[in-house]
This record gives sequence, structure tokens and C-alpha cells, in this order.
Amino acid sequence: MRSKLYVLGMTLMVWVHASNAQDIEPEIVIANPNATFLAQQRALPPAEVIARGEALYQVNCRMCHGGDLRGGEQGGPNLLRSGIVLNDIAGEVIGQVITEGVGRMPSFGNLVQNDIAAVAGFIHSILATAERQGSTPPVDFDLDILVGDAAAGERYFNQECSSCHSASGDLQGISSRIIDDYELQNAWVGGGLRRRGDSSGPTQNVIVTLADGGRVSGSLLRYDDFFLSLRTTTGGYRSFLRNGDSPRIEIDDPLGRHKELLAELTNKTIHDVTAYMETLK
Amino acid sequence: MKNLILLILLGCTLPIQLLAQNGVVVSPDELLNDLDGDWRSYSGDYSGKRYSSLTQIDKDTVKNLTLAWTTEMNFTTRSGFDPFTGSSNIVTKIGGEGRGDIDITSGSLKGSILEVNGILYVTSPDHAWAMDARDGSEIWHYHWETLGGTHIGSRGSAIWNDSLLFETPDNFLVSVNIHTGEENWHAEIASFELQYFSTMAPIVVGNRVIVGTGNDLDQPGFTQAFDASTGELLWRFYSVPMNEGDPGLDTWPSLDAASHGGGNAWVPGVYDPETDLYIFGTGNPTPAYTGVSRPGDNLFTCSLVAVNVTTGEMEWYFQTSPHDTHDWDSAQTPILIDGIIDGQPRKLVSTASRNGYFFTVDRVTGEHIATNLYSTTANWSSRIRENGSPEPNPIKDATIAGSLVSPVEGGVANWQPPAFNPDTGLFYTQENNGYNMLYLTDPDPRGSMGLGGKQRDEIGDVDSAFQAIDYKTGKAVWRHEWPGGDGVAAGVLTTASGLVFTGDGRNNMVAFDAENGDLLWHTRIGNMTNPPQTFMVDDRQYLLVAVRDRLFSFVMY
Repeated sequence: MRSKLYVLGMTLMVWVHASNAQDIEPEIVIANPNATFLAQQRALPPAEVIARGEALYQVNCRMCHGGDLRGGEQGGPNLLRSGIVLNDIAGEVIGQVITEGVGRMPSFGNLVQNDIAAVAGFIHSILATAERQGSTPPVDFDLDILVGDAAAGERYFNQECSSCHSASGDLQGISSRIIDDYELQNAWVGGGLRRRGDSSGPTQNVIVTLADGGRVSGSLLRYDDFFLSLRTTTGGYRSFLRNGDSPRIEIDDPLGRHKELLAELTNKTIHDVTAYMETLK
Repeated sequence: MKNLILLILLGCTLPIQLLAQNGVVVSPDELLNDLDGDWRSYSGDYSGKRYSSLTQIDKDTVKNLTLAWTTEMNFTTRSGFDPFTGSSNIVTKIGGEGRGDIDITSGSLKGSILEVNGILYVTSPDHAWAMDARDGSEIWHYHWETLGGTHIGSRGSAIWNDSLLFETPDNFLVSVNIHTGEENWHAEIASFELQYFSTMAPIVVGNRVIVGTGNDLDQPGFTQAFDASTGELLWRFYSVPMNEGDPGLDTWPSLDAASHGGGNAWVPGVYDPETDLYIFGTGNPTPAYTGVSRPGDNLFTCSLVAVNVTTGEMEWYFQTSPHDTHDWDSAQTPILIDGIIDGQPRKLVSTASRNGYFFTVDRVTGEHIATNLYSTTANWSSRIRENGSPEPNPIKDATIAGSLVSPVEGGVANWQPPAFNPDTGLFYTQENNGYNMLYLTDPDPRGSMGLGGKQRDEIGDVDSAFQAIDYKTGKAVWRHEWPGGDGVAAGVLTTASGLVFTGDGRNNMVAFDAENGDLLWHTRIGNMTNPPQTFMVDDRQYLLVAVRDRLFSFVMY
């Protein structure tokens, strides 16, 4: 029996009518050719069919496969990565397993063909929420960053950070300026290292000593093994070709201590200091 | 008018000349040759050394290198001679299972280019070209109409007699006539429905073509051999247990976990003709960051694996990253080294892993020889096990409140190939050091899938360098720290004249003295996207590299 095709509004839909699963030859209709994987390129059944499929899923499938399809209390496998599901287009593969059972899964003779197609449509609708090939349907989760001991964090800060930073100086109100705890933690742990390559990064002062003994100093713009450019204190641009140690360069990296810290910091210290930073409103 | 007629005549005669030029370009026997004047396979030869015997460009003359030609790749589908410009006689050969309505531009060249008898064979996702090595002009162009999917790169092609073979992102192995670009056949090598994608340069051994694939959705990794003349599947080796009773199953909590456990082999390996072993690195276990759902070592993911090319059976394995939880696959191309250990000649294989550890093992037996951390920052392992594998430290797993982890996701090394120079006994690799904060965003005990369940922020690159490593110990003999410490994604080439070519990540291609790391030459062409290569045409040594969709070819006049 051939599948039938309905056109609803602007979206092409695929739908299947068949007396039994083996007869289904799904007709593939492309709704979104730019989607990154095949299943996502195909149209989903109408919303009311998906809703009916979800209701049937909750009653018949949820116990084993879970409300989110990732496996349930009774130990059924994760459907979102199941070959049976991924190889299915419109119930033709899933239907066979529902009708006949497989392994520890019994057959579900109570589900007729329209039910099977609805359940398959629901499953595909969840898969379709993945953004890209290889990504998962989104999971809502709020990171709880503030698990540390703020007092311990303050002690650490006073001991290790206070020679360059101060709670009443540069870091005053830091948690009001960086409201997201996640951003706050990443920002202080990196201390600007991750912005070093761009103009918003911290200034690195450089002194260039030329062969004739002359010295040029300023803030470092760019350098590699063969070249160095800088902005002088008066705003001028200077650049030099480098050849080994000539000209001699000395770079004062204010982030040197932050680099060392990365090798020393424990997760606990990081969480403690973040908890302390959070108090700096 | 005269010129136009001449051009038309040329346009007519050139294809005829090409058609007349048939026959074997590289026979399977020639693939056994060491890397010399031609670049016949992914690494130049089976060993993975990327050690060229050419010596015209040497420590004294390298400073004289100059641009021979540069050209942008032409991705346009063309229908033939253009009388207005007179510039094109190319008719793009079209293949593919797609409908022709998907155009995924992924222009960067990220693989090896082959060169034989003055002709280059270049690939990028959905495209292959033959080009003249003398001036970079196009000879033919093949375009694959895709079904879609991840178009991350093409690592190159392989030659079997008069066929050029390459993979497509939507998982086909394509064979085209190497003289014309006409398709011979194509064969499906993995399921696109299961969200595999394919990038690997095939490796031809005898009449077999070895292919690997990639996947980011918990599907099992496998390596396969196809008949080079027909595209018929000969064997398939899974990196993970797929059936009850399969070896390694006791390192997984269940068969379901194992058979969704990844281990995709997506970078070309090496071949040892003496033992008929194909030796390659396997990918990371999946789900990648949420190891909670797969306690155990997760064999044979993140391992060096040796598979008999005739039978497809695994001969030995050595796990370089037990129970990885950071997406640090061990797919990096290893290198075959005939070395001396404790005064005895040994047949070895070495690899510089993405996880920051360097390993040397016996390539006949898999016996462990050396393990050494070659990164100054990697902080994820608590100790080295007796068998030489690093023990993962669970405190470096992703946590809800954040873990400080080194290296970053891209690893200390990645697919960009290293090199080995038998004259210096040194293994050359980039050493990318950096940190990220790693957060667990899906604490469900069932684990996430693929690369999901985490959030990541790169804190900074520090102290990244280029290393020359003693294969016997894994320790650096010389090390060149890159100014500023930012990491470098660049492959390596070395030569019998004692040179090492690579990129510096600061838009330069550079040449080192292989013995001591002195910088001898550089050219600022932009950051290379494929490994540098060399070959000989008309008694002249060329140096070839790609920067995104542009090729640069250097010579000395």
C-alpha cells in the first residue's frame, strides 16, 4: 500500500496509512533542505498527531524508555540514539518493533497502525529539537556556581591576590558588573588571558633595545618570532623585524601570575573565591 | 579572432590529450616506496613519518624559497569552455546521491594533497580536483551533490592504479578515473541516518581501501576495508564491543553502553607491510563528557589499535586514555619507527596523543615501551599505570560548579600530523597548552549523549610550543616556545636535508633546523590549514601548503 501525501498550508507533510507495519513505504517530503541531518530535513506530522502520539507514549512506553526518551526506570534503552529510531522515517521500523517486540520488549498489539505512526511522530518530534547533527535535545539546567565558602575565598584572596587587586579598588562591585556567576568565575580565573589576543585585553608593556643601544618602549600590539609592533607612550606606531635575540625585547606580562595560578588552583579554591567575589556588590 | 580559434583548438585538444593519458598512476606496489619525489598517499608513505628524501631545499638554500604560484580553489560547477574569457575548459563532473539543492560551503583545505608525475590531487568536502603542479591550473573538477550533514573537512584522497578514492561528508566512498574525474563507482560506508559523517583520507593497501568515519551521537566507531576495484565491503572492525562475548565488554557497564560507546577512527593510520598490520588511533568514548553512564576503561576507545589488513582482526591494542571524559580522542596519526631500545633494534610505533601524553609501543606485539607527558599544563591524570596508560583523575571531570581542566577540548595535538626524522631520531609535534573551565549541565546518571551535557569556557592558552621528542623516552630534546603562548594548529613535514616545516599559528609557515630548533626561514602567508608537503617536478623541489581555500607553492629558481 502506498503512503499518502497531504499538503497543509506552506509546509509539506508526510503521513502514512497502512494496514500493517511491513507494508509501509514512506514517501519522504523535504521540509527543510538546509537542516544538517536527514531526519531534520523531513517534515513532521501535524501537531495534533504528535500530541496523540505523546499521550500514547506516556501510557505504553514511558516506564521503560523514560519521559524524555533517554531510558526509564524499567531499563529500556535510550531512544534518542537508538538505531531503530534513527533509521525510522514514519513508523515503518519503529512499528515493527512495537508490533512484534524485540529482546526484552514485549509486543504491543493494542497499538494499531495509526497509533504507531503517532508514537513515531512524537519520537521524531523530540529528535527534531536537536540543533545540529550529533547534538542532543536541549536539557534545562541551571548551573549552581555558588557552592564555595566565601570566608575561605576571602582569606585566599587576601593572601594571593591582594598585591595586584583590591575589593575596594579594581574589584569593587565586581559581582554587580558581571552578574552571571558563570561569567564571573570564568572571568577571574582567566584574569584576561583569554582576551590577550584582542585589543580589549590587558596592556603588556614592552621595551625594545636596538643594536645601537637605543630603546623604544610602549604597549605591545603583536609579536611573533620575526616581528614585533608596539604603540609608544605618545601614541605612535613602531614595528621591528626580529632575528633571534636582535633586537632584544623585554615584555612585562601583567598576567604572568595568572598563568602560574592556573597550574595551582584547585576546584575548591576556585569555588571559594567565586563565592567571595559574589559578595563584592 | 585568430587567438579565439587557437583557444578553441586548445580547448578541444586538451581533453583528448588527457584521455590519451591513461593507465596506472600509482600501483599498490609503488605505495610500498618511502616518501621520495612523489607524494602518493596521505602521509607520503605508509610509515606516517612525513620524512621526504628530497634534499634540494636544505639548511643553506631554504632562504631562497620563493613563490612559484598561488591559486584559489574553484568550487563552482562549470559546464565547459567560456569563449568570453577563454579561461575555462573544465566541465565539472557531477556525482552524488543528493538532490543538488544543498550547498554547504566548507572551503578550507584540511587534508593531504597527493602529487604524482607533476599532477596534484586535491580534495575538500564534496569536491575533488586534479591540478597541474607546475602552475596550479585545473585539469578536472568533480563535485558530489550531498545529502547534507557535518562538512568539517576532507583529509585527502588515495590512489589505486588509475582510480582516485575519497570519502564524502554524507558517508560515501567515491572512486573516480584519475585521468578524467569521471566516476567509477561509489559505495555507502556508514549510515547518514545514524548521523555518521566522513572525512578520512582512505588508505590503499594492495587491492583494499581502508576507510574510517566520524560520529557525534553515540554510534559505534568502525574501520572498514573495501575492494578497491568494485567498492564491495570486505571487513568491518568495530572499535567497541557490539555483541555479547566480544573482547573488552567487561570494561563497559552494559552492551548497550558499549555499542553506543563511540571510538570513531576518523584520522588515517599507518601500515606495516612486514606484519600486514594497519595501526591507527581510535576516538573518544561517548557520551563524551558524561562518563557516569559508562564506568570502566571503555575499550577499545582512545587506543592505538593494530588490525590485520587481510582479516580485519585486531592483533593488539594499547589504550592511551582509559575512560576519557574530555573528548580527547586518540585518533592522531601514529608513526612507525625502526629504533633502538636498550641496545636492541626494535620495530616501534609512537604517537603524541591529544590528551598530552606521548607513547611508544612495540608495533609487532603492542608491548609498552615509553610514556611521557609532553604538555606543561595537562592536569587530568593522577598517575601512570603499570602498563603505561595514564590514570584519569575524576576531579577533572566536568562538575556543576566548574572544574579547571587542561588541555582544552582541541587537545595538546589534534588531527594535524606530526613527523619523524630518522636522521635525528626526533618526533616533531605541536604542543598546545591551555585551560578551560568545564561545567556539568546534565547531571542525570543516565549520562548525556554525544558531546552534550557540558558547558565550556576557554580561559587561555599558555606556554604553547613546538617539540622535538626522543621516541625512546618521550622527552623533548629541543622545544621552541611560541611567542605569547597561544596554541598552533599545524601539521609537520621533515626532510633528509635536516629541515622541519610547520606553521607558527601567527600566520607564518616556518622552517626549523631539525637538529637544534633554530629558525631558518619563514613566510607570512596566513595560518596553514593543511600540513606542508614536498615533491619533485622537473628536477625542482616544491613546497606546497594550503591556507583556507588557497594553495601556495614554493620553489627555488
